[in-house]
Amino acid sequence: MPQTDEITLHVSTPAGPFHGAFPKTTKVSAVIAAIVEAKGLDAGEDLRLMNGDEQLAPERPLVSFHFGSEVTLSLLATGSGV
Amino acid sequence: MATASELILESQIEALRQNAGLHAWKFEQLDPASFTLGIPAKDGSWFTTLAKCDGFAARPPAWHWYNLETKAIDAPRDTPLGGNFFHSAGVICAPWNRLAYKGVDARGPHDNWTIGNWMTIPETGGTRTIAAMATRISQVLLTAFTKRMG
Repeated sequence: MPQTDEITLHVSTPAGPFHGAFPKTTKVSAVIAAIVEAKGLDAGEDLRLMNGDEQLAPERPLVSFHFGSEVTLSLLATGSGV
Repeated sequence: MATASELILESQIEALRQNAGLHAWKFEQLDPASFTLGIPAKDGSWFTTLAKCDGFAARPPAWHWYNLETKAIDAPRDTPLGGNFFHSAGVICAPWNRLAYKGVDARGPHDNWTIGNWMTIPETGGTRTIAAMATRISQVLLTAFTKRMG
């Protein structure tokens, strides 16, 4: 059961799903770093945390997005269409 | 006994299958090296890809567009357009799509990429796993998609 000051994230990543609870004050950049470590991703990659079509700004804390107690997100590996 | 390449591919497709479950995408595996994946676009309609991953990861998958009812492959009405990514030629224009290489598919916009180097072509970025490719397709369907080709 997550604490009320935590939010549970379900995140699709390049290496499959990540599930984890974070304090709501955690910055998006720290969430990305935690997922990178947990999933063994390349820390040098440009990865963006997305809520649908919205990129979550790395410097903002999770609480600022007004999610409920759980949310499903995507970790997007960038690369350009050309 | 499965080869190392087959085990890698199996693992990558399984990662995508689990991601698809998270987002309620419509995943169906057709054989060990191919699958269909339905993904919603920003207008609320759905597109289905048919990915053929034989030869992965020596070469990238072929990401076709697909119609689950008619079984048509790459029909204009099933093909999204938008930006450079959903190219006007009807293929996803990225080094991780086999169809983007003119030497593989006549519609491919690129004869300046070497398919064997697809993972290190700068435009690939971090999009080197099948799950990452699907997420990228989803993101562009939710943002740059403009209309169907036909």
